[in-house]
Amino acid sequence: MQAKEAAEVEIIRLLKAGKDSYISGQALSAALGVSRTAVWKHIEKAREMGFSIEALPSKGYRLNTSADAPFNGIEVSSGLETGFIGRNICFYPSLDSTNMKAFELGRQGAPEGTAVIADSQTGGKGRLGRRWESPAGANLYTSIILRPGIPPRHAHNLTFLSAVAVAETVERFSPVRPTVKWPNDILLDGKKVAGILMEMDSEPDRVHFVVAGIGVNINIKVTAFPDRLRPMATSLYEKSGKETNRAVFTCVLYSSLEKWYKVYREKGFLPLMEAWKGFFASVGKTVTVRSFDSVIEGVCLGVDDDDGALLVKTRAGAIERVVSGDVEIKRDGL
Amino acid sequence: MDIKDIKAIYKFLRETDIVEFEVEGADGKLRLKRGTAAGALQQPVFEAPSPAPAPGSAQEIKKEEAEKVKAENIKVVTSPMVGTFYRSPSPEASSFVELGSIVKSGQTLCIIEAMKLMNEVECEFNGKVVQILVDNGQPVEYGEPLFHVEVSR
Repeated sequence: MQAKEAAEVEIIRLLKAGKDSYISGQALSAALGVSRTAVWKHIEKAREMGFSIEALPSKGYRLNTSADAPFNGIEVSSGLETGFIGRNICFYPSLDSTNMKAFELGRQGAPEGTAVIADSQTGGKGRLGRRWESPAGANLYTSIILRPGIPPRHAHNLTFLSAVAVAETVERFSPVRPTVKWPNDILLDGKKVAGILMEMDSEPDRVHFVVAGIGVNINIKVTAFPDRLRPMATSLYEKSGKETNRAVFTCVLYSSLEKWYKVYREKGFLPLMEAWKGFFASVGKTVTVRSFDSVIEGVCLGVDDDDGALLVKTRAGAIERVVSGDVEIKRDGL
Repeated sequence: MDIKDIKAIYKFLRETDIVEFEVEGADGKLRLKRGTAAGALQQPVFEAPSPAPAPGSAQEIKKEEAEKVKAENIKVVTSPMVGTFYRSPSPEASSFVELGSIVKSGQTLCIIEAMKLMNEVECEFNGKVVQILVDNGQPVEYGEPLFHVEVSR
């Protein structure tokens, strides 16, 4: 939450806690430690930001929860239950890329847990400069800054951490159980619902920060995808048949990230790997791994518990350890 | 025996319980030993068969190069992690640096990718790229030399 909107966040939080009942201007002014006139000004600002707030002279203020809630930093902040992830939210109606903005903020010293959210991206990106479709009003595009204090050679552990958190969150809102495609694509019925791009700023022996860029297809309809993506992309809406509140989804995601980050710090990589494997459904399947100038085809044996490298047994009988590349899972019967 | 053979043996041993392994050929002797504390296979140690390598042999050239590096104030930029080496941010984009590029402290030299985590490796001093030691898209080990950069005085 940006400091200048702290009062709006607190008002929305209090009105939400009051459910559908009215809260007096006096009570709000006491809770916030500001005058009733100031409360009125903050209410006006919250209305401008899309919140439907009713006012009755004798009773006070009430949040009309039946109206569509806006998707912005205040709405997300007022629903947060985390200690540090998302406590500093930078929300933008449009950005080139949330990862680029988070990187910029990271270099300026933004605290751990700082989260960038954009309603749309003009240059949303995936691995190796690929495009991530980022229309407005439908999905979640967020990048979180982590400062784990680990050497760079362990930083890829965070790839699996973010995959577990996203998969677990998608599971909460989807009628279909998600699976992960190595290492961190999240699929519903074999189609991509979320993607993660991890970028790091480091010295040879110290990570300055890692940016976890997460894109989730939430309310987008499959017909809105470009033709080339339709066979391989899906959204929560396509599976559940209903709209998901993006702010609620975001809050659950941040809680899950924080939970697994604490597990990682206290107990190390193994519990993450175990949770990740719970979503991994490629063992025993035929996979094709395309990397820069090679193609490996074989049966997926699983992953190396030490670092999460993909293990593929080729037809020649060799066991290949894959640390980067695109994995394609052959469907049964093909 | 070349690095490919050593890598193949290394990979094979990772899958087994063998703790010590030695092979001798015409061109040298290779000994691999598994660490006891961490249980991990140590870096392969390559031993030359004769006490002093003949002038002009691979080892001798390597040694000469190492001395040259030291003498000319050339720093070696190494890989901070196991991964894949990329010289550009995307296949279509131009390389971050070329041979002879003048680089500033903080400038990105390359990207190392591991498990979809992209690490931009930055130069930590002002200088000139005098050698690029790895081809685009190739796997690199932790600590593997990537660039030689001549430091500006």
